[in-house]
Amino acid sequence: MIVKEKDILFIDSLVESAVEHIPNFWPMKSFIHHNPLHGFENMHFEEAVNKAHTLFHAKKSLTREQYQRFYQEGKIEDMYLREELENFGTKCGHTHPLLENLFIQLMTKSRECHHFDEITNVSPLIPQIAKNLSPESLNDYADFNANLVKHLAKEKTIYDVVDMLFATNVGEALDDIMSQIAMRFLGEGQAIWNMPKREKGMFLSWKEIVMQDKVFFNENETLCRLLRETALAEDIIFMVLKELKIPRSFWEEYFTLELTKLHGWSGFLKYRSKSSSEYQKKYPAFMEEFLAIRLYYSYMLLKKQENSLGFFPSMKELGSYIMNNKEEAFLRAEYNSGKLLLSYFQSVENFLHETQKTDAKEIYDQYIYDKKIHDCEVLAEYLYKVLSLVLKEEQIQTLQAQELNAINAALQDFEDEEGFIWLKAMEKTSMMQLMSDYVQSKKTQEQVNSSDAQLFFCIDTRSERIRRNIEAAGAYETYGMAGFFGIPFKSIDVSNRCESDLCPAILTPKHIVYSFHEKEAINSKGLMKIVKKVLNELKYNVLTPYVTVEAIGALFAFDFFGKSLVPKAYMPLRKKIFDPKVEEELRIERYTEKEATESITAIQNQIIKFVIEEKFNIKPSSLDDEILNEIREIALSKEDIVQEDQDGVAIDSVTKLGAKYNLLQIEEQRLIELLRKEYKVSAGHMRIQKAKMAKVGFSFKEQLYYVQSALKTVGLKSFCDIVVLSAHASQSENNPYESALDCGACGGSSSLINAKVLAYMANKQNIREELHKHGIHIPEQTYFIAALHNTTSDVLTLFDAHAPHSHHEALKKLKADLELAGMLTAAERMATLPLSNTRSKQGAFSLAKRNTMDWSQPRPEWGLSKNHSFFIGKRENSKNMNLAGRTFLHSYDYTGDKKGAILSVILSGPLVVGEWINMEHFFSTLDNSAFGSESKVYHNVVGKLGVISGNMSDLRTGLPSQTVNLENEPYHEPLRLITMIEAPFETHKNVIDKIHKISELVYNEWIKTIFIDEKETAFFLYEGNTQTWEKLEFKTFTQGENRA
Amino acid sequence: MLEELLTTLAVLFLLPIFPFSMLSNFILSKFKGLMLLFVLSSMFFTGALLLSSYENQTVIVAISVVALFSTMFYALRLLSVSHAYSYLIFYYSTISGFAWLWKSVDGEMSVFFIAFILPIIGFGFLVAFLDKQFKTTYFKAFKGLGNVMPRFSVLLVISIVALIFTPYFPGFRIFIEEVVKFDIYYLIAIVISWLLISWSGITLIEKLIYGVAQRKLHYRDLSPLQTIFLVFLYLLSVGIGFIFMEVNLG
Repeated sequence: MIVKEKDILFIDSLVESAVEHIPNFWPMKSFIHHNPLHGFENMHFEEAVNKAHTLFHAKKSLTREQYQRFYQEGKIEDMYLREELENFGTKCGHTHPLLENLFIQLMTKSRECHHFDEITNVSPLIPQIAKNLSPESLNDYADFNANLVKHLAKEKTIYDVVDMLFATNVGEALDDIMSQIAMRFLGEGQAIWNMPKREKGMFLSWKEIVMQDKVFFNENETLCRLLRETALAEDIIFMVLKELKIPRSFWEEYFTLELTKLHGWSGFLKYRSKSSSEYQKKYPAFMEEFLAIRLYYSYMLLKKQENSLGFFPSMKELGSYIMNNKEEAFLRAEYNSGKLLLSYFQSVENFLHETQKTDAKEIYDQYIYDKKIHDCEVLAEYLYKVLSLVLKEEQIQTLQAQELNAINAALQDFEDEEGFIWLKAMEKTSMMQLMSDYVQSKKTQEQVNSSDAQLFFCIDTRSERIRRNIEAAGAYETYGMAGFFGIPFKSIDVSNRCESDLCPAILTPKHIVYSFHEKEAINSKGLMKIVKKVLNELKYNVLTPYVTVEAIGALFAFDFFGKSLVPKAYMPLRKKIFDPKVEEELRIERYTEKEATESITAIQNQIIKFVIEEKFNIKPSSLDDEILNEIREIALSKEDIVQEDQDGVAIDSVTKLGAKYNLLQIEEQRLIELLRKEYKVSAGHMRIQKAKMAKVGFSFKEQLYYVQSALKTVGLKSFCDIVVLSAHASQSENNPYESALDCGACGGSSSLINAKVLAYMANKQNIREELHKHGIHIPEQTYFIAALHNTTSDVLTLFDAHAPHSHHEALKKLKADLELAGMLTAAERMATLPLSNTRSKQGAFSLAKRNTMDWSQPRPEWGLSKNHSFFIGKRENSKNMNLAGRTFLHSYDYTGDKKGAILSVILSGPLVVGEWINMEHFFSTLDNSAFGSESKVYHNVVGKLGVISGNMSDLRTGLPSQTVNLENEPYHEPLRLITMIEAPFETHKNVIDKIHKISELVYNEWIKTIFIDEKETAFFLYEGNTQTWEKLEFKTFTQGENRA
Repeated sequence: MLEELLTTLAVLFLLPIFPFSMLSNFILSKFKGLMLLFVLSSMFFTGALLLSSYENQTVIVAISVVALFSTMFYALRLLSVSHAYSYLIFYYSTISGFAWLWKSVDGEMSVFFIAFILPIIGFGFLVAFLDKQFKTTYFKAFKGLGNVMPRFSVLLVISIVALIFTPYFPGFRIFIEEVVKFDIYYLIAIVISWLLISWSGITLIEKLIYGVAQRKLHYRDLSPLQTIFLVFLYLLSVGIGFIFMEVNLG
């Protein structure tokens, strides 16, 4: 070990800081929408976007053409665009009278006025303009080398600069190697041949492999000799940084640069290293190890360049080269980056390859001279085209140099800000529209006397349409709350041995709910099980393509044609055979001590049977309870069996098992030891298991608390005979992103179990009696039913098997109305999907159902695309608003929440989830390469945890192109979440200030916030430009103007 | 005797093989655009004509050994060229080696000429188009032309496919004929050359077409007339290739 203890801690802490800006990436089986710039939420939105532009090389905004399309569609109003331009002018101090009109014309009318790299000489005025431009407005290349050295190890890694100067591919090679290592080590059950010795941990298992690698391990290298001796990743990190001569003060930034290169893998590792997943326990991996491996390879790859470069490119050496060979370094950078003037390629290439003996300074001086002229002409042409939008030729001719330079300076600032100007104008247009709709909606409120049923839905934007259609279909009230219904728990499917956290990712569930599926009859399902097993093994066997394709390939043709040509007929049949529906039973009540002991005992007996069969080949059916109990009791005790006689010989068996099957005591002892150590049948483990089982289910108090919270959160005061708790889930085939379409509030899973749990609790008589004491009166005849809204087909299924007979008629009517509402919703939605426009509503409904089974469909539904707002308030006030499936709707009644306690729960939970979903869509649309995952066509599932593009790439985070784009143009409109909170401003604004996370989101403008104050009959908007809350009265919107 | 010597030298420069190719390539590098295409086609035509009437098989067989190495050398060289003009010139040097090999197995030079002249014209035309527009053909100046010049890109891909002896372009038949008529050592060398040429073609496509266009230039695509001309050229080439596949060229 070469690094001191304190340095280990120092390095670890720097790594921890370095990954702050990298968001977690959860495995895709429970896709969690997240803000890719989550680590930047402590800074203002615009500042964060600029920082991400540098760190991730991401775009800062959509293109002007894309915004022009929104403008032409009326989604951005002229008035608000001008307002934002005015704000921009004030902020940057650009006050020339020409500017506002110029910018408006440029933004809205021009498609040609971009800063080209080429001169087309459209007018004789261009040379005149060029002459008037001040030198300050042009690039000064004199600082290039000094700036490059300044940015070394701060904004660019060493190999970034080496690649730029010498056209090596160190960065690309490094990323490929690291992607491979990450895939191999972090895979969670997809590979048949796994990386060996993963149990040792990422660094140590990798070390064993790389020491066999003749390319990347050389005993002559000090680093390699250290690697052989050390077991610490920090040693390697320290050594590499020392060899690269990177000063300590640069380390944190250098770590950030390295880890953000593959921010997908880094994000996944960041999640995994802190998770309690089985894979992390079995195959531990940490960020320091990943970094150490990366730095090791970067060093070895740079070392390989030493011969061709003539020096080892440590930071010091590289810096010296850049400063001592200014001209050559500059020309190399220009040449390799493709920025070189087109006419210089031959001469520079000849110089660099030394085919012609030329003085570097001579070429450099000439080049700089020509480049400056080129820059000047290009800029002059651009200015000319821009000015032509608002001025005639004669007017341009009369512009003074000072004016010209002022306009140029303004244009340069404008280029940086244009995206934000468009964004803010578009948001303002939407906000004003929403506020106007709200005021109109309030005016047209209808009084509802009584309802046939009340239905709860998730706040998901897809619920908006179906809620609206259900309300139109009959006398129904709908409410919105987070899809987990306020009950966070871990669901463990005992039969299938899988678990998931059914709550937002920001929560850690304390409770566990077991779900059991009815046992399959061995006789009838045994063959299917075998067939499934064989097919699965064939599918994943590496030899299968070579030996069995001709033999059994034809068998798959039936499946292929069925799925492709007649999915609606074939898929239900297929599901019936391979994945039949089974009744699900949930364990919701807390286990009593007795029940826990009995359950554990039953499981232990099963384990003992299994082990005895494995070890002694004794059939489980021949082992009676007496035998099992005896073995179990011995295992749970601390006593050993083996007793030796005086001669040291083991004597015959002491157990009933041993006696029946002629076992020696030593064999019995080994059995006991195996049970204790490998299968955890011991007293200590039993205590742990009992403690775990104590977490299963909910106590009476907990049930009461959750039911009360759920009802109070939505402000439900009176109850109909039927209360439906509707969960939601999507359904699709061949879709790695399926869980992205499921409930975000349930960690990317279906929320059906949550609905069932709440329904069960709310139907309990003793719970209702206790609720009555707390002022919540649920009538006896009220029955809570769980339901599932399939968001792909808009089929809403009620789980009413145990509903009272008296509700039969009402349920029949409800089901008919739900069917109708589903059809209307599907018709609305299908009109927005390409190639899905049908003439009839029934046709649309049928097409929607087909999408759930069509394995060729890359876009089974739009999901949460086009989400733009979050409404927290009473449904009666939003009912008539034109929300078009774009709004998260959370029911809230401020009259029952004087202190804002319920509002704070909504803001700190569901609103944060909404913001994550909104930002995920926002950035995936903005730059689908950097923040999204590009086209699904190129995706390959890797390690059962995510997708890569092609055969090798970074792990793709974010949403695919098909989710946010339509024919390569944005379908989703990237707007920050417009959050409307229906509550008195004066009393409830402090809720924001009390919650740190929410105040960050509001005041750093990650969301746009509007308070709807019914008492004041006014809106209060947070204005980032002035950092104040601006008041807008309701009457403003009824007078036909948008501003007072 | 003198006449034969002069003819031999002339063909060695017109259908250049190393080291005579050094002079030929130097001269060709002085031309650009359609002029280069004209000069190169003229050299090809004249060289093929002269070689077709050349009867000294002993000399041809001796030269074919050098031609083999020359072909491999220039095929390898194709991988490291930095601009499209170099590619065209070195490609010509590569297939010149094939021409000598073809002659050494009594192949008809007119067939060889027809097989290769159309793809060369097509590729040369595209290179000239690029040069006319951007005043350079250096690969580093371009990237992502597939996005901004789709017609040009598609036709460039087809031209490369034609140049690298893909089936149903006539060069493929020539290549197969050569492969079957030579012994194992020649066969290996010819196949290696073919692989190198193919690799270089794919690399060229990757450098020019793949990716996102970085430079903000006024990208002007081929005009409809230019597109029709090239499409016709390649259809003709495929037609000839089809005929070659069906007819005995021996």
